[in-house]
Amino acid sequence: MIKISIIEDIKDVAFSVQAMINSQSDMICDHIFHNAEEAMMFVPHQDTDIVIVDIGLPRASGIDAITTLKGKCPNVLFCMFTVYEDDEKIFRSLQAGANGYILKGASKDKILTSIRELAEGGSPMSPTIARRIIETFTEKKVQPTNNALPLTTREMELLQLLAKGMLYKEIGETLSITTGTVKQHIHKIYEKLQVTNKTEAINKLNVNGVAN
Amino acid sequence: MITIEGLIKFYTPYHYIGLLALVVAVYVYITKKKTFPLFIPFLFVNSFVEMFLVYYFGVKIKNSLVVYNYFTILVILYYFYVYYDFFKSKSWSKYIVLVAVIWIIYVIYVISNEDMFTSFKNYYLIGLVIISLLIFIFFKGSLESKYLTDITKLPMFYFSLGILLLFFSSLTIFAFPDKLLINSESNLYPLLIIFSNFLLNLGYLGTALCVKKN
Amino acid sequence: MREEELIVVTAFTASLLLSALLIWFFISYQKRKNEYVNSQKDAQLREQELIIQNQLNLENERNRIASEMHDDLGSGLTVIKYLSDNIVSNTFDNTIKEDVNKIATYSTVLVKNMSEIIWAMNSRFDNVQGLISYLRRFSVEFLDDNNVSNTFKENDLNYDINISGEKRRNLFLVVKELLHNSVKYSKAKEINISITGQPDLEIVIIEKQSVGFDPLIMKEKGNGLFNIEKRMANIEGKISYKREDNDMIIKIFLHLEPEIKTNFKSE
Repeated sequence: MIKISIIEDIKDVAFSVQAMINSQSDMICDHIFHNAEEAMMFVPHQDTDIVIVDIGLPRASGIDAITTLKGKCPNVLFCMFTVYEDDEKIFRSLQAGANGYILKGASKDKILTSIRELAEGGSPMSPTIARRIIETFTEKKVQPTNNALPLTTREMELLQLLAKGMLYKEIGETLSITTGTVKQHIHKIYEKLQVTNKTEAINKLNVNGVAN
Repeated sequence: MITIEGLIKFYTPYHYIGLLALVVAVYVYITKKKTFPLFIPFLFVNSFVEMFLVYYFGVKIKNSLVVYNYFTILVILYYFYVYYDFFKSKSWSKYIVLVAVIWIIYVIYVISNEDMFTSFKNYYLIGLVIISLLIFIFFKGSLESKYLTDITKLPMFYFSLGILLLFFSSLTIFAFPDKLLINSESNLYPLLIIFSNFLLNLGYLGTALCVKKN
Repeated sequence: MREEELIVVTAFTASLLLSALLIWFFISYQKRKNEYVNSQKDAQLREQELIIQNQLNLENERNRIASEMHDDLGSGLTVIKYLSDNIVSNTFDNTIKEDVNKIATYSTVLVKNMSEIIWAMNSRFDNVQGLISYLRRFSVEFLDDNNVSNTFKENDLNYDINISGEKRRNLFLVVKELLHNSVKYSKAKEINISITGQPDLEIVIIEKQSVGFDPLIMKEKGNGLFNIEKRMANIEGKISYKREDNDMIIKIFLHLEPEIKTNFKSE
């Protein structure tokens, strides 16, 4: 049973998605929050597997919510809920710790499939995001610390193909893996992105003379 | 009697400055391969005439005026050449040649009609007037130029400065050379001329040093 | 004698000092003039910088407004979709179902269209790479969804060459229209797309075993073809249609401006 919470300020959308989820036998949605502050207060005390976070929340943003909650509940998966796939905010959410994203405009089946994929360790990625991530990892010349792992060649290969606009199926065929494996690689890449981002933030603090 | 002692006694500061200018110019040419147009030959002749020939003729025939009468022709011609070279990219540079030729014709006339041993010829002053005009054009042009930022960085500036100061200061005296220099017993006027020449040679030295700096 | 000497000395000194003074004035005048000219140049530079900065600010502001608008519209349209879906799942009246589904479809299409506009407006994608990956993503997904087997090939492309947002958008819409037509009318079994970039951009769409263009169908397609021609004219590109055996070959040309690399040497 996948336990899901939703952070979405538009009630019609929130209840719609809840109904969608509850109509399925393998998932349940008991908690709905309409703003980030409430979520930040209560989510840590709940038993949740996945939190669906609206990217356009009022006041404190979805990104703030993720940054806080990821620290308090490291085992929870966060999924951005967004209108546009190539939103700059998605990239920033991923850096902050999101594990994937779902398009609000997607069909009911697609949304449910995405949730299941995420629960199994797979994430989606658009060509734009792929390119942003490639830039991030090549620009910054990640310092080899314990935490920050550079990308493996396989992962870099995958990113290049995604950046070219290839679909998961084609990438799978090119690299001789299933689309499921492709998505799992993406999931790991997002984790590394988040770690790199955190490391950089810490490094910046160190450089400024703030003790660890 | 030509003696070293006599030579040394004969020399004034401006001789030494002139010699120094020659040394610096040669040094710069050897080390940096840069030079002011025909500068080294001119300075060589300048030093040779001022530091030897004048004394020699003074001792041998008791008349150094003739040396100056011929030397000044060379000097003015050199000045013509320098300014022609500087302005040769201008369309009117050929007129400089024309004026120089006219001046030469006048000089030849004077030489063939007058005694070169007794009076100081006025073609020197006339030549200086023309050269001053060219110097004026040089200064004015530097104001209008879009690219020139600091005129004191040009060797031409120091060269022109020396000539200009010489010209203005010694103008009074060269206007009446026979009365004041040749037939006068006063030591003052030669002294003043020496001072003017000092300024002139300082200009030469400045030019040589400026070439070195660039 | 002494009087004469005095006169001459005075004249000498006076003219010497005068000339020195003149030259001194000249040099300081020149210095001041240079400073003035330089400060003018600086002022001019600063003015130009300001203008550029202003334009950048304007552009940023426009982008920000556009972005907010898109967010608002996108958000609202999504709500419409969700509400529509609710109605559809709660009603048994088929006519209502049909109409409300149309509402949902329209809003989804609108969101997609805005997505495309955002892509076209974003200068990050103003290059061959940006265009091709977007085209690829769209074409393959669209053809897959409509069960048309397809291939997409890229050859000989310089990915860094600049293409403006307007050109990208028009090219994309042309390809989109063509593929929609292919799926709806051509009944092609397979569509192969290949793109080459030397020297001009060439997109070749081959519809295998397609029924091609029928005058009747042309009339139906009507607006579509006209739009395509108009768009290609807008971006100064060319399009050609050819039948070979049972295949339909569509070629799209666009002239690319190579980047001129300049080496700046500061004086």
